[in-house]
Amino acid sequence: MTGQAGLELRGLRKSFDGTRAVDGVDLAVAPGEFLSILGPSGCGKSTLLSMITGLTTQDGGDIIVDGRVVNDLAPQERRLGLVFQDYAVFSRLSVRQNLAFGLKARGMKQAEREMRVAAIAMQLDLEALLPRSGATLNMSEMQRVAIARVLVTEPDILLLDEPMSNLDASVRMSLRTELKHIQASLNQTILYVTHDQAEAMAMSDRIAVMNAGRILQLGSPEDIYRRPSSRFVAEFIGDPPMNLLACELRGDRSDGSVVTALHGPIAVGPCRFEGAPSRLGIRPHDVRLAHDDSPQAARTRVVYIENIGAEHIAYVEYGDGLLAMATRPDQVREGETVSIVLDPKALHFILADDTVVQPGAPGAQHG
Amino acid sequence: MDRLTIRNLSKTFPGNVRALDDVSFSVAKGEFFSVLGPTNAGKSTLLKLIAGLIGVDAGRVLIDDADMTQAEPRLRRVSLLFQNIALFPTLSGFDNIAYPLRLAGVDEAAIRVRVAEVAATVNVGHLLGRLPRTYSGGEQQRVAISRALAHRSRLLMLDEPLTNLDARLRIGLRRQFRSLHRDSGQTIVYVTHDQVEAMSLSDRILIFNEGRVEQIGTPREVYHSPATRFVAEFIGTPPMNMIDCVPSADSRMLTIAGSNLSVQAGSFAALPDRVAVGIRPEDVAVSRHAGDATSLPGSVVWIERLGSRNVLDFRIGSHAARAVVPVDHPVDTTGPAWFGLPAARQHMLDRVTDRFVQRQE
Repeated sequence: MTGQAGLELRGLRKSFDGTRAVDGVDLAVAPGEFLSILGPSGCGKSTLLSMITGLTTQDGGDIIVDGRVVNDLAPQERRLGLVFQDYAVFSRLSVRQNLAFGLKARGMKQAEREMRVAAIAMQLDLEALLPRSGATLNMSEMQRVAIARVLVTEPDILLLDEPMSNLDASVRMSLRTELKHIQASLNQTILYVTHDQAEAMAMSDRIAVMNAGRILQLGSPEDIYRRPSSRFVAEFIGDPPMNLLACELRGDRSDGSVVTALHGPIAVGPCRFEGAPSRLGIRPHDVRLAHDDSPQAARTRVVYIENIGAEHIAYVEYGDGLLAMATRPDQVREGETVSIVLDPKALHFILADDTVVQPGAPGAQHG
Repeated sequence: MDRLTIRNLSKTFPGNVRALDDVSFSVAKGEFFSVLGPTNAGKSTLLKLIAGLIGVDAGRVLIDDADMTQAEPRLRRVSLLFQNIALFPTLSGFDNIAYPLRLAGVDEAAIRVRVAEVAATVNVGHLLGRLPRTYSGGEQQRVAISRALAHRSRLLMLDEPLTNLDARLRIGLRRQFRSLHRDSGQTIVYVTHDQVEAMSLSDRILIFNEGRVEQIGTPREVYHSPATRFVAEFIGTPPMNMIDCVPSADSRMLTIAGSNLSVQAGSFAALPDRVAVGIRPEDVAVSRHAGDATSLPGSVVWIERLGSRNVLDFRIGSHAARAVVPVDHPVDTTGPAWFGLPAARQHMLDRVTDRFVQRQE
């Protein structure tokens, strides 16, 4: 196998009818890395993928696969493997024929085709399925066949375009675990495009969050979740979304504290940023019930509860609006008065220019 | 009073494809009732039968206690929003949303108020003056949702209204649906394959599989007291773990199949010979150390870090299972660990019938 090559994008741009779909993207995917491009529909991620594969020609910028600039190469010469949405396994062909399909199309001789198919079937544990018809596969088998069918052509990089977007939730969960296992065992470089943050969080070494044609943040799943650098990323990542509260900064900037409609002052330490924050962000999972009469606690009323099974999201009165907090089932009831605290280590300040800083994060550095 | 009553409904399509098999349920006035099941379970067929778009083979459809089984669709006075929406291409967003209101003879001043209300809730105000061909797919869907919501029919049926929308948009619309229902008190039958939508929106959920009713209950009941293996594995992300066990003669201990490891059993009536312990991933006890609550040695083979929580993929003997723990849990690397299946949190599946055994209170 090859498959451990890197991919680099430099200043990639594309406009349609004067609208900038991709607006200067720089990105380096390391060999063997699982990198996801995550963003809402219309953010430019599909256009980006289309340029990488060579189906769309960029207005400017370079695409570099394994050290070679591939700008002028036809799609089939770029050594990329694209796995389609919903996997698109040919249901009228056997698994063996599905795997050999791309090789036959390239005019490979039968003996070599058979050898390659046998090798990939062994690696992805598909040997028992080879004689089966594509129509008889379950989703897990179909995913493996779809990936094997592409890997058998020995691409440098595997590209996946929202492969799971139309599948049932219970199926998606097991498919993503399995895909990550396949990637890790083959050390295959993967670029995965999705609008589903749970998929991106669960599988990726790094995530590039994209909006309006630009990459807003590139980092590990933990970075993106714990240390969003912009308002868009802060609000896009997390389900239920981050709470944004009106707030006021108090005290000396070398040792500040923050006050909200119900809480404060909460010590936040040195404030190494310009101007006053427009909002205080806190994730529903970082709002806690207070078990004592701690001075940091505030009393408020539970307005309603959203039951999502393992957790109940309680919406409590907070100033003029509602604050979402994650609770265990039956921990609180609608109408009940509760004491809540905000985790001081998990606060985010949204600044006037929509950048975000984390005052409470250990070792946080902000210019 | 029940708004909708379905009695013993069956439907078979040509080629002997059985879509619905003896389905019965009722929906109370003002209830938010979801029909949840995998793709091709027969959910859309059920809605079409209620709306009168296809005829039944057997059974009855009652709306406000009147038998509508053979009634023309328009006489049923129900509205149905399909998954594949069709907006009128030559009408603006406003006129599309106003269409059913005009048909019902609502005066123009009231229509303007109603359209503005719904447009604000579903966030389509900027689309009202434009034609559908200028909309993205998600925008088309939101305008169609607005049209279905604007006209308060006595029964609103929605077929996967949020499918194919962006994940972020779905979360927002989920919340808007819920507040809309709280404010309007409209009776809604909501078809979805998304368990989080069904759990968070519904008063009650019907879980549907291969044309049959697996269970009807509140979100709490279907999550905490599933009736069948299908329900237990369909609801919950990750789904409920099922671990095959052999009960002791007095039903008080369970030996994990293929091992010599035992745990205390919850209080159930006499257990059948072949059982599986069902345990939700968030109910599994996990520790770095052996203890009374964590007496089963195993190993964590994979960790999925989702930001707000971690999912541990682990093995006990030859059994694979998952646990969900907070991100600050002491077990946060792969390798040996100890596990427990708390007796009070166990569900007990009869492996012969694939139904759960009643818990003894």
